[in-house]
Amino acid sequence: MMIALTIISMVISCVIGAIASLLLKRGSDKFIIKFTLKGITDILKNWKLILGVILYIISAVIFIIVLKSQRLSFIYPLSSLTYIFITILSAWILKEHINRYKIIGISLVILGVVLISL
Amino acid sequence: MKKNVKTGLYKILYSTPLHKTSLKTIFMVIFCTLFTSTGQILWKFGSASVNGVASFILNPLLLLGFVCYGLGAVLLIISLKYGELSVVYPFFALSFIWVNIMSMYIFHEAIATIHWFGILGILLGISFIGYGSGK
Repeated sequence: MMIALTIISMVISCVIGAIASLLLKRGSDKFIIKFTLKGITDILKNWKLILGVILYIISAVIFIIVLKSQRLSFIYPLSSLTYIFITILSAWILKEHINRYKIIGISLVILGVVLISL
Repeated sequence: MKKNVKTGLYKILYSTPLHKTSLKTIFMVIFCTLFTSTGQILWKFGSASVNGVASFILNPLLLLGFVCYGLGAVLLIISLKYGELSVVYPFFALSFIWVNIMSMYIFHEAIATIHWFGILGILLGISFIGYGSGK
């Protein structure tokens, strides 16, 4: 039961993290650093960027809560689901080209993350 | 016939890839992971001496860690602006490597053989992704 709950919360955390990255990507188009009042309000008015940051924090909080109850070697490999979700979202929504190099690369990165958390 | 020569191994070895995500962007992501990993290490250091709200807010290590995280976030957003998400994101796996190496030097934690293989996997993986960018 505990295991099932862990997996479900990690999948939710990964989906939220992937959506957050997508929002940051979309919001970054208008991102300019200017140390003026307008520069700061422009960033605060960029709702995609702000929502992206908030979702990132939510995803991290879920991750930390789960981390307290389970082993690292179980959580980290699950967290690499984010790589898969992000690849799917990049292809689907951002229309980025996903080729065999990227797929081989993602698989190797996931393998690496699994090995590092053992 | 001539067309066939330029595929497969030949293409991998001799063609210069057209990068959609520029090298500059990739360096920016690498610096971003360095900042966030330093932030993590500083937080691990700083959190050891926390006992109460005041020591939490006034802790210089935690504050410095927070600054590192902030700089990392800014670099992340700029790199996302110029790079592809499917390329930039996998590079964050580099922070696993930095944390491992920093822990080795600072906390004298030895890196197990299997972790070296993990590091190798991540490095190979991001190399493939960087190569595949813009193809």
